[in-house]
Amino acid sequence: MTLEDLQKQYGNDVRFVFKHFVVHPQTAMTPALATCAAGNQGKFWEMEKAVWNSAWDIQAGPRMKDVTLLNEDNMKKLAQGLGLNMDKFTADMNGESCKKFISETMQTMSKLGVRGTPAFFINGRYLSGAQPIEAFKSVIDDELKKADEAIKSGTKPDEYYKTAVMEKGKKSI
Amino acid sequence: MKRTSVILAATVLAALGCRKVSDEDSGEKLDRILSRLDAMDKKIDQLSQGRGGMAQPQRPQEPDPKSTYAVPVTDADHPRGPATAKVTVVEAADFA
Repeated sequence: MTLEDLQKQYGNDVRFVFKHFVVHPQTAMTPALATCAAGNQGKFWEMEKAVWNSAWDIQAGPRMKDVTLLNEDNMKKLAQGLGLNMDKFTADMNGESCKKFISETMQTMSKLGVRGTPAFFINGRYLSGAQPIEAFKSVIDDELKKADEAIKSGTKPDEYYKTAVMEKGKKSI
Repeated sequence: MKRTSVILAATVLAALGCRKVSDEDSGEKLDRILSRLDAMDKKIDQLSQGRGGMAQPQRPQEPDPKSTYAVPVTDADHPRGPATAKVTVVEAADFA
């Protein structure tokens, strides 16, 4: 995926955040709950990758192989493969707290104007849909410059997102 | 018997009376109805023309790429990369 290319190129200058935005609940809610449950055991990204690799033919597009690979049985197989505590995984997947977390995340993103997937915010700047990697690089480079200037004039790096994006950014569309 | 005929007579008289009144007014009433229909036709035309010309039923607006939006990031989102990263890439996605 392009995000991994970006991580290779920018290293520690870039961090990635995944926000659940389930547009196709009949198929995509189960894997969303599975990644949430895996996240409770510190394996969110591992599970996210496992789901993609299991249910999609990455070379071919990516193209979904078979929708049944998104069902709970396959999610449990993947979780087992990651060595997760299965009782906890099953309980978390079917519990209220992951459901609530996903629905609250979606509300937040919807308020910020997300209407479909994928949608990106790079230091709060919107980029819609599947874009060529150059489109990401151009915004990232721009944002890096701005961050460097702010840090030069005294902002602490770990406070930059808070001051430049959270405090100055728009709270809703 | 007597009572029935009285009622009948009254009904006939009333009916005649009504007819008389409506005969007098009907031309005027018809004009008014027609002109109201014309006005409604015009309004319907205006509305349907308006819809064709306007940007279709309001589509939800997308965020402005030139603005910055306060996208909250917490530990619950499992950020990958250090908190000192200068750029945060947030992806809203689903498994679809």
